[in-house]
Amino acid sequence: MTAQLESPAAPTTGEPERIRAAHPILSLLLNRAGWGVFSVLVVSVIVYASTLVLPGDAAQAILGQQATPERLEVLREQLGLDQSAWAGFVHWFTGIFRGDFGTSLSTRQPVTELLGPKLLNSAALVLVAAVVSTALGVALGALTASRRDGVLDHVLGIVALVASAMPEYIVGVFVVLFLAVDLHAFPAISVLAPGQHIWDEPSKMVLPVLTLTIVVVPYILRMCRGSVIEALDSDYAEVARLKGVGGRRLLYRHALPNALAPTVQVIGLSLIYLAGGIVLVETVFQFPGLGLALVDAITARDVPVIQALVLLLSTCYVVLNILADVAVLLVTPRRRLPR
Amino acid sequence: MKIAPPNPLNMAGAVDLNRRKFLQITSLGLAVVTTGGLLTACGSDGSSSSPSSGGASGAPKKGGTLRVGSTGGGTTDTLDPQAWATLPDQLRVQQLYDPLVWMAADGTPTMVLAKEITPNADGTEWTITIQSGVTTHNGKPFTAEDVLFSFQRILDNKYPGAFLLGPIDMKASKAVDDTTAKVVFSKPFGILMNNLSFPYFYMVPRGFDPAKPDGTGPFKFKSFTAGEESTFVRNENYWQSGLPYLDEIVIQNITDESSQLSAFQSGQVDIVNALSAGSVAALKSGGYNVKINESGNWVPFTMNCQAEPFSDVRVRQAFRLIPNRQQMLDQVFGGYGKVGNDVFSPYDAGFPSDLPQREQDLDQAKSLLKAAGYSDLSIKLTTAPAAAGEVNMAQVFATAAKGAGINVQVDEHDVGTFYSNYYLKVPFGTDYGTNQSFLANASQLMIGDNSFYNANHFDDPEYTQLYDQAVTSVDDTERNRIIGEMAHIDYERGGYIVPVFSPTIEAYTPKVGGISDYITGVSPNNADFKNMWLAS
Repeated sequence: MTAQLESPAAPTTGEPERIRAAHPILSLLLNRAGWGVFSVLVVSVIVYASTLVLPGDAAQAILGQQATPERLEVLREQLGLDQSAWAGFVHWFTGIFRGDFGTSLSTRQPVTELLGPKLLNSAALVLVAAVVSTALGVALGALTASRRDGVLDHVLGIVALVASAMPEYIVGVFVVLFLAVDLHAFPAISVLAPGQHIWDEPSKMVLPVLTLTIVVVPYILRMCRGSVIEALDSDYAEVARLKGVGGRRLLYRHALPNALAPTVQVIGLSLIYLAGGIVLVETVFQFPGLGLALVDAITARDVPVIQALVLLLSTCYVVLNILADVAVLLVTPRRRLPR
Repeated sequence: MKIAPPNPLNMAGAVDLNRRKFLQITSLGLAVVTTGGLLTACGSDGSSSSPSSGGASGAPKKGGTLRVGSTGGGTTDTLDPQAWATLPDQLRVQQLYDPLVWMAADGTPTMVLAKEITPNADGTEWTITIQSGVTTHNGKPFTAEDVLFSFQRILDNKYPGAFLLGPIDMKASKAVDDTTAKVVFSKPFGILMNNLSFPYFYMVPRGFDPAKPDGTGPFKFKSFTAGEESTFVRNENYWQSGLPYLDEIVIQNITDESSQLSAFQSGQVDIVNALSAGSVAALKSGGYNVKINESGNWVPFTMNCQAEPFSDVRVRQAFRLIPNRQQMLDQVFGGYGKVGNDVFSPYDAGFPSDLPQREQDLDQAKSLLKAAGYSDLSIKLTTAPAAAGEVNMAQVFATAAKGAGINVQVDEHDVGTFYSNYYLKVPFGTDYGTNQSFLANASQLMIGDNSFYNANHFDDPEYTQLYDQAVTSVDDTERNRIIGEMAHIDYERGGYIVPVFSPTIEAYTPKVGGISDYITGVSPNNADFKNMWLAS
């Protein structure tokens, strides 16, 4: 439905204009992708530089209490920590083009092998949390908007405010206290046996997903409620009402579709938040995903793993941003018109 | 002191530190909430029986899976029994491998794989006889050759045990037969048996590869992911007949204490270890078995004897009079553990019983400082949360020091920064150590530049001379007498302030049996899982 949308108002003055007018999404994609690649590279360099500033190194982290000068020296040599920072970066950077992300300094496993299963676990977590929160947020937003100033609206408004004010690890702790410690309903931590994936033990996903959902839903709910209310107050809704359209039909057919654009943007932002929010939530639940791996890698000064994770997470961030913009274009036909 | 096996909250467990810092508020919140509300509610609905510390009683039962939620560790976890670094590492390697000698629950070196360890008259040649008929998990016979291989592996890699093998001469050492090894030393060496109880002398077979762990221990390797979880299964052919009782042991890394407690209270694990005193009340009111042991673990303040102002012995003596020891124990460790007397290794057989307990005496401290010309002393105390209570102790000390007119500023750093920038370098700092034999500690902490972890920069000719005598003596009585003298010297002019020995605190579900008292500080239960069992 997107590409052929030919607006009668579109000026047809010249070829370039026509092309741009015909492919607003494509040009946006190309533009954003270019900047995205650039940003990811810049982030990599910055993060690599910051790992150099961290006190101590992987050898010291591995030996810990046992770090005698002799053993440190031997281990540093084994781990290749004796090469210069610049050489290390060039080695890493050229490696990624061959699909080689290096070897973890602490586990001595290839980084891809180490992070593969964790990536899948985190992806499952974010995906489920995103689907649940979006459905819940939009539904509750539309519901509260249609019953504006009712009891439900007020109660949910306050609950959402409180929930959005709480950091995710506090939410996590409360969720654990009620559902795991008190009711024994779900596991309190999500540690998996070696070789298992999180979907092999879905019960271990419940509390992390719930925590992320509690954190994200308020934003979607409030944005959706606001936009729907705005739409319901608009002239076209008034006209529809005067024509006898009412209740559900007005809400679903007229108001909601127009309220989607800002909501989609917030959903996009929430997803982006989720990609970072997993760090805290995974830590609380010891969830074997990328977030926990990042915390572990930083503590272990495991630079190849930190670099791979940052590359992965920042790429995620960029891609989600682009997707959110595209989605907004898709739900807002008028923005696809040339201005 | 760093060479001592790590304390639960140690530094390679720096892995736990970020997370720990991260979640300090969380655990605080948890403690408050659990104490205040939910747990009390829990306790009142049935299981409010008064908590005992003994666990399940009756005859041991065979079978079952024991699930342990251990603090510490991270992606650096290893199953190499001679180069491990964190508490979960220690719990794991103790199951897969056997040592020749083990530091038993009461702190005495006790034979395990070794049947007999005897020196010749001057301590230059030791005969080690091992149990016969021992096989590894892969079915290979374990022989005296493997003992020598294990020593060689430690020496070649400069593993922590290397230093404690003293003047060993591997070329001259040999296996006499399958169960007898002759170990030769280039100089008299009297403390081999003692040093072999240091927890890095686990025995491995020739050709050992830590990636495919093969040992003679009570449990066999099944799976392991560093920083996450390991599963070990019963060694049906274990040489100690009847042991172990359990079919399987699952050890999970749960780095944060609040997560440990939630996992425990929600029934995901049977044991959580190395807890803080703040968790005791909540757990007891929840009807769980909480086991609290005194230990030889210590968190000293380190005064650099070579640097101002501590190069003056009167300043060191004054500082040792500052802490109110019982109060520090109450405030930092909930009153558990025991008061210290500035000398390490209180459970060593040679530790003297005639050292008067040092008490707080601020007036005496003031006059000593005045005599030394430091009436208005202002000094920085550099610390890091490397061990439980470390930073809190520094704060309590600073408060007490005001009473003696000393301005102590607590200078706290994260663990990584502390160890790379300040440890061993500052005039006044903190450190920690686990329970070790007196001479093992002295060798690493007190002998001038020969000690890697001499944070108090102690270099006392008389002490060193006594140390050399003690190390060469093969006569236990004589050696213990010398240790007593060394302890007296340390008590008079040493550079460590040891106000308290910290407790170990762990919690068990009621079905766990085989729990005993121990002072070694290796939480839980001195890692002695082969003697533990589960009631049905």
